[in-house]
Amino acid sequence: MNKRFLRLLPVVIILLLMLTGCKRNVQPETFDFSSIAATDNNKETGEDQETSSGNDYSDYSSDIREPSGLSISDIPSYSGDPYAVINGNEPFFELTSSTDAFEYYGDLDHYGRCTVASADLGQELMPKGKRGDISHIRPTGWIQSVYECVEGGSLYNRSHLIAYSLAGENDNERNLITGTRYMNAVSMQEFELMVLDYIRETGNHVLYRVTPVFNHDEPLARGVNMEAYSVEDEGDGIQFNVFCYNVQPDILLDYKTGDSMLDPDIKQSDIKHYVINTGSKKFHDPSCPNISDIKEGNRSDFTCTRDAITKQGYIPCNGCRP
Amino acid sequence: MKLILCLDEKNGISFNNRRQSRDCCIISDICKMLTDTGDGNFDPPFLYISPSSKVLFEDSEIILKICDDPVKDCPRDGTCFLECPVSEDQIPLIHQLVIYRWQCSYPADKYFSFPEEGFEMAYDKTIQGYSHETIIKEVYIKKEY
Repeated sequence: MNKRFLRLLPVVIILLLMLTGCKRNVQPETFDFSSIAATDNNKETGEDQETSSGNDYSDYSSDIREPSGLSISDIPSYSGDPYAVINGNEPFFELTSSTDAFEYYGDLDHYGRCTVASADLGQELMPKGKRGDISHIRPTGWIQSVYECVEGGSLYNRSHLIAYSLAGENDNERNLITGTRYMNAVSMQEFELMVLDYIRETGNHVLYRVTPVFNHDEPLARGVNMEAYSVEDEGDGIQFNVFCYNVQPDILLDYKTGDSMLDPDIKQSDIKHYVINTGSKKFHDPSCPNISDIKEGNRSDFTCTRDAITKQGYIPCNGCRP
Repeated sequence: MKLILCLDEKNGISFNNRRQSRDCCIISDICKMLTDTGDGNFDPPFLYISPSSKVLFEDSEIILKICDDPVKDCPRDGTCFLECPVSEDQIPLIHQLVIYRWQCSYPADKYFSFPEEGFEMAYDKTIQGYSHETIIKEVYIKKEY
């Protein structure tokens, strides 16, 4: 037995070395994100990873790199509004006066779901180029479907926790969740635009954290908790704490899988055909003469309830009053 | 009184007592509008604002009249810039409305109730913004004014 073991020992050692090498290779995020940090000074992902030079968190409480802690039981039931105010709009994280920009993306949890993304946003983190392709990322709960009542057709977007426009993070799987078109392009975007405009106009910084909220082991998030606080003016410019619901008007979602269906409770008589102008954000009856003025590329057709179209941010034409 | 407001697509005006957005090109346009009255009158322009709006006009040449209730304190021929809703009883004080319309929606918990009756649009024009690609300036005049 001993001789046989001694003969096998080099093989065992080689196998162990190979396994050790493989283990390094299954953690590509470390390498990937240090290379991204070449263009952005203070990017970091994963709490247990080495902090690269330039990432000085000494001015920050570590709590901004933790999920907000908001649980399903803390969130008001969805009642038709795209978001709900949480904690009187006061962020849960500790407020600081540091203006050293950073961004942080928490590790995926053991179900492969995003956990948190946080940042001290400033002009120095904003992207200089257009966003790249992110279609190769497949976040949890990604069962795509196409509906006529959804702007653009596709129910789900790969929703950035921290918008590309704010921090230039493109295809980081720790920053992308499955979000409905409604949550991504209506509720989240409104807050993102508010922060973006503020930073562009003032050059100030905004402490910012987005936490996806899941119910138990569900792969599809129930929504995201967005918190923000402007640093230099101590919250005078920006301060909010909201929960954006991951819902889509007229559609029922199965959060346990990500699957979806048209809401069977909607009366067929309430579903109508509308023409929308994505430029003016107005919707028209198909017989409206103003439709001929819609620029090519701005016209889209919806078949849905009136409620669904107004919730997606469209206002009725003053002419045809649909 | 001429009343100036910034509103989003849904007539939203503020969220959590904070302005929805800002653009320095709007401030330049307001200053230009106040100084260039077209009647050869170059009296120092006054603008009635609330204390929270002061930060927007710090670098401008116009003279600020800062008061807690600028609509109330603004004279009949004066100009007022407001970042909160107008109370219904103050609507009759307005003879001209200048709305800078953001071309998007922002979060809002306070809205401007647009007086549908009594005002008609005099003109609108697109102005280029600094942090916004475009902003629409809408000018409404009180009908009997």
